[in-house]
Amino acid sequence: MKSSGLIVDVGPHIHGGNSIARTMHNQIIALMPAVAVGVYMFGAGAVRAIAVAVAAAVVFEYLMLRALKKPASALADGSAALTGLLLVLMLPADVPWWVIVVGVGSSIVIGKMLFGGLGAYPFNPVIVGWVILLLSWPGLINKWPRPNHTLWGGIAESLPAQTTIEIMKRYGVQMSGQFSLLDSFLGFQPGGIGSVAGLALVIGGVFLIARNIISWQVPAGFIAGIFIFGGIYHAVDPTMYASPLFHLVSGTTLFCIFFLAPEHTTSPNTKWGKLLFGLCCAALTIVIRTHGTHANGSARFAILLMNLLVPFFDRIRPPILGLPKKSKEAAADA
Amino acid sequence: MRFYQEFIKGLWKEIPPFKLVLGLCPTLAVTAAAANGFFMGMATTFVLVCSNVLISMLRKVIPSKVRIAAYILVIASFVVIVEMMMKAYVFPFYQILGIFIPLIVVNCIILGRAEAFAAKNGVLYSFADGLGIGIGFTISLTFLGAVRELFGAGKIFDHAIMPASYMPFEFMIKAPGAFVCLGVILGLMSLVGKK
Repeated sequence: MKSSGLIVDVGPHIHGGNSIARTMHNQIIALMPAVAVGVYMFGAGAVRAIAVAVAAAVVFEYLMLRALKKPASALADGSAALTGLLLVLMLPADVPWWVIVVGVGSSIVIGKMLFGGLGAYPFNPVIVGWVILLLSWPGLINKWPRPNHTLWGGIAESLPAQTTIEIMKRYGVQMSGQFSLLDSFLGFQPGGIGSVAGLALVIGGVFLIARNIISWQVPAGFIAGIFIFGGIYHAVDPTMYASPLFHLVSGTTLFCIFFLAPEHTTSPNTKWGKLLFGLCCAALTIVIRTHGTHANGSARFAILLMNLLVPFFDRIRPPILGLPKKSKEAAADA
Repeated sequence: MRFYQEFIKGLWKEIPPFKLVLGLCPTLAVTAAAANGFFMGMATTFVLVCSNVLISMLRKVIPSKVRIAAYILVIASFVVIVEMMMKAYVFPFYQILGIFIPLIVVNCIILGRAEAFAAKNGVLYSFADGLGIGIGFTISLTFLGAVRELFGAGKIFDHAIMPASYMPFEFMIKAPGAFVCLGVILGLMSLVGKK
């Protein structure tokens, strides 16, 4: 990317060293704790699923780059592998291989490349692929296998077949109260290969923020929103509505907060935009989870809807400096 | 010769809804199966041909200030005929297509052809135009329905094509699948047309 001809200025400059490849590789590294937890818990099944997904993503990306006559060197930036990895971490470990291939193919071909590739798509391609799978084979991708090993002494046989969120929806908050929030946070709850391992995801997310790969505003807004809106519901009637902490550690919420919502192409550019984006995602998550039918995918559907509004969040801009007063107002109107 | 040209343009050069991107509402809504698309296309073809011919006959009588209302009146009469015919002879499909039969009245293709073609051309050419566009629309809807039915249910015209172990890609027969499928076909057609 350094030879893209964009550097048109005089004077000595220092290149920050940042690139698309560095961003993507860092995100893949940040996912490694979650991958490790998934592989430990589900063994060979998880390894197989991840291998299929990453291989399929790279193949689809290569074919689309060829078909669209773009340089195949774009493959090296790792964005395809990241898409495949993110998608497969949300799927159950024993999902058939062709489901993974169709999902990854939908992500890369429909969600990403047909919209113009990296930097151009309006929706998070990972979520697009996942929604297509959910609409097609809900029975296959919402059936959670028991892990082979569990971390921190949990007993695999005691895990229910449904996610804690489904149990909350179906049997009420009292039933979901039997799960310890700490267990859920450590990853001991039914869910995808790596998308429910809360602690590992938080480690990855903090790594990304510390490395300045993602900005802290989206996750911060998201978490704050979960506490605000979940807290309002919980305060109104604690016997009807789960606590915000439950919302935070259950299902894929943390995965969405640190890996899906801050996705660079589909999140706003400015600080306040990002913060608001996170807050709105959280509000929708709570509303869908409390009142909607697709409670399991609430955070992902919320992000998908908010992706549509990103151009509006991007209208929150810093003021233009140095303009005379009158034209400043004109610029604000524009 | 010109008769033939006006007819044949509806089959590729201006085939709706892929080249003449009109009438998307029935296209997206009823093409979950090939047979539905076929009957929808046939119903539209009948209305299109009849209204084109009648409007072409009346083109010197209709005052231009009230022409849209007059066209709609003509179209609506034929739609009522189609609706009654379908109710009488192909009742199962009438039930499947449901509201989309009366909605042919507001199908942009029919009004578009009336305004853009029948109001300016003779009866014979208007007939050819209506027939060509109508058959083109039928082919498109049937094709789109067949593709979606094949992947979404493993069948075409209700005959099982895929092996029994095939797990239907149900996304294709749902509403978002219609958008994606239509978009991909549109893109492929303009790719073919470019060369």
